[in-house]
Amino acid sequence: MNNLRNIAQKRLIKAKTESLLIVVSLAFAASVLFSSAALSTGFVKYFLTNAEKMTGNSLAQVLSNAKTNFTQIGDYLYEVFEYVKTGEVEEKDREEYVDGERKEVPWPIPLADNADALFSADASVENLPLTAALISAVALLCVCVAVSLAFDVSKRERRSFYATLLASGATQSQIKKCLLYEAMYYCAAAIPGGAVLSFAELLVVKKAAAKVLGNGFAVAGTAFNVDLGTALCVVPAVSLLTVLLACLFSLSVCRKLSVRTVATDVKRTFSTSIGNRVLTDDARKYKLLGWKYYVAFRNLHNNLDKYIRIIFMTVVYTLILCSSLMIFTAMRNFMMFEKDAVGFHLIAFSYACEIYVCAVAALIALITVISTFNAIYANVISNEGEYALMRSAGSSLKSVAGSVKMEGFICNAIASFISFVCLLFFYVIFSQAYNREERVDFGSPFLFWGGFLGATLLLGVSVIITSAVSARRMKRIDLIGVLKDYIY
Amino acid sequence: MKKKNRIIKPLETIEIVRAEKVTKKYGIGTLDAFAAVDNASLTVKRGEFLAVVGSSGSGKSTLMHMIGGVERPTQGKVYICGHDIYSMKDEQLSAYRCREIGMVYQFFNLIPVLNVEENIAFPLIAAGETVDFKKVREIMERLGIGNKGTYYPHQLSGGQQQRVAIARAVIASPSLILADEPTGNLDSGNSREVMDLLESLCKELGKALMVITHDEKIASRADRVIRIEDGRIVSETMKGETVMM
Repeated sequence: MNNLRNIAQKRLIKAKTESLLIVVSLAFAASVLFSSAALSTGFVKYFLTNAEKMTGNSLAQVLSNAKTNFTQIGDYLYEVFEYVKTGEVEEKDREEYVDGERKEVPWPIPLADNADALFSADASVENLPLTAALISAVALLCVCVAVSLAFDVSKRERRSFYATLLASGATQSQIKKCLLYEAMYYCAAAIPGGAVLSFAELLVVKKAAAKVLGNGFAVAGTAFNVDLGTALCVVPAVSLLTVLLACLFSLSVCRKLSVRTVATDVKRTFSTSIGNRVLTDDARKYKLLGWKYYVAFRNLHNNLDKYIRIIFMTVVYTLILCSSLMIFTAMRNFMMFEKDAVGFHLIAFSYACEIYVCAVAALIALITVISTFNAIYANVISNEGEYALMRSAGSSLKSVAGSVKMEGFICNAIASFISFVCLLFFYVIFSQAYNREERVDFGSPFLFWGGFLGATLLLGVSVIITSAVSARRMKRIDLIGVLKDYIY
Repeated sequence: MKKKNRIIKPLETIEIVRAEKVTKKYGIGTLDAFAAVDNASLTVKRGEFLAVVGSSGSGKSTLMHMIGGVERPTQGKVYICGHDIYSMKDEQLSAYRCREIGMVYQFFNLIPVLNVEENIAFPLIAAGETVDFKKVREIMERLGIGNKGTYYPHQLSGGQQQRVAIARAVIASPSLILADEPTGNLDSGNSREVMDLLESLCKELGKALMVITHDEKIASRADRVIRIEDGRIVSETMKGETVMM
């Protein structure tokens, strides 16, 4: 053992479950970043090279229109609210678009003509750089949340470990270096895995797009291609970003870390968490609720910040997925019009853009599921003492496992409720506004709400699996050992 | 270019510790504000064994942490070997603390991923000094854990873990050993053994020993006893003197 770096290495090897959870989370986070960055780059590149061909306007004109659209967001929102309030809307100029005939409509709402389809597709293509920037920003935000959750996995244990180093004579800067080394080791294991995963994800997206776009894939499919140049730009940039995020969140352990942390933490755990809780203050509460619910609510309360982040990610992916699904359906209905080559190209690309947004939402869903697993499993690891205490107070193993499940289900229920409220708002306001004059067919509301149910179920299933895995871990709890460690 | 902190060398003073009117307040500006330590002054001479006695929550651990350079006082000054430790930069203070103060905690605070030898050598490794493992083994032999060098903390009993913590506290040859309830987590047999070892080792090496305890038996072994109540020093007695309250 020559230096503190070796100690960081030893800690990572010893805490293998936690290390594995962090590496898996980081790998998925990196893969989401790789995939969304590659897709965004591909789409913007395609847009820049084909904008003139699709819209008939020069690139400068298209970009200028996009800028105008961006600056008019405020006016547009005002218009939407005015419409909801009064039911009156300003007529758009549609004469410049080619008319066509509609072939079939799967949903019995009378649709507007081809001009509307082209008008919407044109606007959607013009706004692509903005959409790509927005969707990349959302993906990045979710990845940040996921990485922060990954480094929360064993925060208590890590804080205690580094405070012990501090108490044993290490300086704050040595601790920081140790944490940075730790982050580097995690990244070294996670980034190559993330790159391979993203390759698989992009393949799946491309195959799905080919199936959904049909003939349109021959026109707009190139946007899904990631060439060598793009990969060479994306891979180092995303790797660097992942390393930076890992370092940032790894260093969060240092916040307010002091030599006293160990002594006071251990003493507090002993005197209040075990002693007083059972004997005085909380006795009435757990008698009232029963251990199962009491521990579940208590753990939820103690890990509120973690659950807020999971709820945020769930709401984000549900919103993007459902709204994209809605617009996606509208685009599919546009595709049923007879169009000329330019119109077809425009609509096919616009349709491809929606697939791209859906793909990013799916990737965010993936990272949310992984993060949920991490958060619940990590809570089980760090709350072993609580569960051991439940067992010692006479709770059955089933009851302990039930408490873990309860924690996940409450989180799931809150996330679903918030998503539902947000979606309801979105559906009422925007579908009403878009569907004014019956110009756009958003498809069956069942499809939209089906998307919501699917998104909620996804989290629900992940919670069930996590709880089952956690409950299996409960069976292996060495009651005396855990209680001894907990007190120590 | 890497900026190096100037290493502060200890002065040859008679007093190892001089705390001048130290006060530690918590929750300043709130309704719950209180002084954990209030206007406490004390000195510890070279080679002296001082016990600080008080009930739970009386402020004795806070006082120890302030003397150990761990917790900055709200008011007052702490001198260790003639230097005001809280006028030093954080890195300087860490290095100084590592060299001049050895700490023994109630819950041992051993590094779980290091074996006994590595745990004992840790302060030297952190200070970037060459580790003399011969010296490490000598101290281990002296403390009766000579055959436990390759063991990890979880493989040791409480008494053995506290012996490792004592060895770690003295390895860098500090001038002062601070022990916070060193026997608080041990049975009576182990408590006596650990205190015997701590006391004799400090005497042999000529180190000052400051023990925080609420155990009167341990306090009775000290050269001097300071009693603390509600953050204030209420009495100071020499060995054999009766406490006048």
